[in-house]
Amino acid sequence: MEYDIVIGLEVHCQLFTESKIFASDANKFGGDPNTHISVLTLAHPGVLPKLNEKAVEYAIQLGLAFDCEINKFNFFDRKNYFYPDLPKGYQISQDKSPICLGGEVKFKIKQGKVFSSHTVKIHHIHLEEDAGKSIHDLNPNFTYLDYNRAGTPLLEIVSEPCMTSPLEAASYLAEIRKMVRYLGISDGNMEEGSLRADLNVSLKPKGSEKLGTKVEIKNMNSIRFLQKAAEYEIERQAEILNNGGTIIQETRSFDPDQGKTFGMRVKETMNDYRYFPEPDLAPIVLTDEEIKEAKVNMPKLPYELFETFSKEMGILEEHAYLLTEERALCEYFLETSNFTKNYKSVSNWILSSIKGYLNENNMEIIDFPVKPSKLAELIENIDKGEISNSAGQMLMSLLISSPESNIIALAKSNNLIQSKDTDAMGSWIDEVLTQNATKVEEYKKGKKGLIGFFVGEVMKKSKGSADPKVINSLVADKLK
Amino acid sequence: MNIDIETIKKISHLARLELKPEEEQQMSSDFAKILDWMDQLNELDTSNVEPLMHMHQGVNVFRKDIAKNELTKAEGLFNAPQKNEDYFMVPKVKE
Repeated sequence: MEYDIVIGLEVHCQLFTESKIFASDANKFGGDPNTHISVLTLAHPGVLPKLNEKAVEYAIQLGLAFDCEINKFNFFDRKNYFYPDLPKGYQISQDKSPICLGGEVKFKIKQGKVFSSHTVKIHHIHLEEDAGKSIHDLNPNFTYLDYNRAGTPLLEIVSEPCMTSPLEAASYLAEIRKMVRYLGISDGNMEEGSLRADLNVSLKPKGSEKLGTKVEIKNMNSIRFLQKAAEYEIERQAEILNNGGTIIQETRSFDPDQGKTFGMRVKETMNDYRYFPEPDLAPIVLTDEEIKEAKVNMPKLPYELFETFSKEMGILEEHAYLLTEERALCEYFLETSNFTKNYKSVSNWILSSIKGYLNENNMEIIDFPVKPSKLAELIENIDKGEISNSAGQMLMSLLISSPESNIIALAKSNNLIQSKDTDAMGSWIDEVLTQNATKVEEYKKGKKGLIGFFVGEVMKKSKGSADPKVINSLVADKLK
Repeated sequence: MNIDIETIKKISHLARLELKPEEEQQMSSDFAKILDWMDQLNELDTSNVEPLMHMHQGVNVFRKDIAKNELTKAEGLFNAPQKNEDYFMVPKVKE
């Protein structure tokens, strides 16, 4: 039997604020246990929460980035349950009035050289607080609690059950990570748990309207694992259904070592969250002006930049895709493009030499020593024929060690100015041709590909200062 | 209004209260009385009244995003029933 795959995701994203959502203790990953705490975080009696305005601003920005409707009247709700990582006995969340409604995440998936466009609908995004961390393995009889994380602002982004493949789900999560980093509202670090996802998977007979029973896989902390878990779960459910079985609605966990999901032993807790409006926090009323203002403070978004790069600046889609992976890369590209119109060359430089250097040195583009204006100057000099491409590469490595140098002076002192001296070139060419007489014979007999070899040899003699195009035509003339 | 024992068991579980069987009986009849009393409110037609969530009319009470640590670890742990030098300790919660 054939099935339609239905996937939905609940993504939790920790916000990059200085302080917690309802208290002023520091919002920082790690740290000595129980050092980022306050009477609020520890739920001492008689304390009152006060909402961090930054958390609201960040929520609005993410909502605008995904084209959500921003809810102009929101309040918080209490979600009641007992668990020691939550000392109050309830989590402050938004149940009835999430800050963002609807919206969609648009992204591209690249398979080989082909891009496909995808849109995933968002159900809503709401604000809530993270819980503390329980540590079960330090003592056989006790659970240890570290409340550093308790009260960290979280956005929960709930998608519609509209994804149809594990790859699409993984790419959707990757797009959310990219967006929160772009906006600078979260570090999106999945290893540290800043971004985590619950995955809902179900199958229904092909073409059927009715959704199948869903299974939830909790706390996925890697995009790759999310995709694997979804793949495994689809196979597992299809096998059960093909054998005439039924899917049990349950929560499962994914073991990356085995690549399998396992049912979690759920106790009959009769959970009932008994949500009710949080009486300790005043509602938030937002005006159109405030929403507009949040928009003004936002950077250009990756999909907007992709369009600008590929449609207006003539950058290959493949390159535009790579450039828009990271905001800092886009900024470097855009800044360089203020100084030169050769956008293609700028993109080539960034994606090959500069990225190569950054990867080799495990460095970020913001720490790259050569300023965009310098790169533009280098490109202009290559375009004017002052410097050859290969000399340009050498100059770049020289610039990395002395980024303030004047390019022409640096090229001169290192003999990298492109030689326009055809006499010198002529004598280099003669030398090369005499030294390689047998190859010259082969060339004359029709092995025309050897021209590249001759040009290369002449380039060596010129120490990179000659223009390979000029040499090419001079060599071809000589060998006629 | 009749509140069955199952409902009483559920509510006491959610509140983490352990009731003896005779207490459950008592609770069931008390609960019924409370709900009957509250039920009188339904005599009023409130279909056009917005639910009251806050006694106070204020909105948009925000705090600036400034971090300050007001409590040391030792102070935080001070009143904990069980603790070590770093952590709060509770009976094992994982099966």
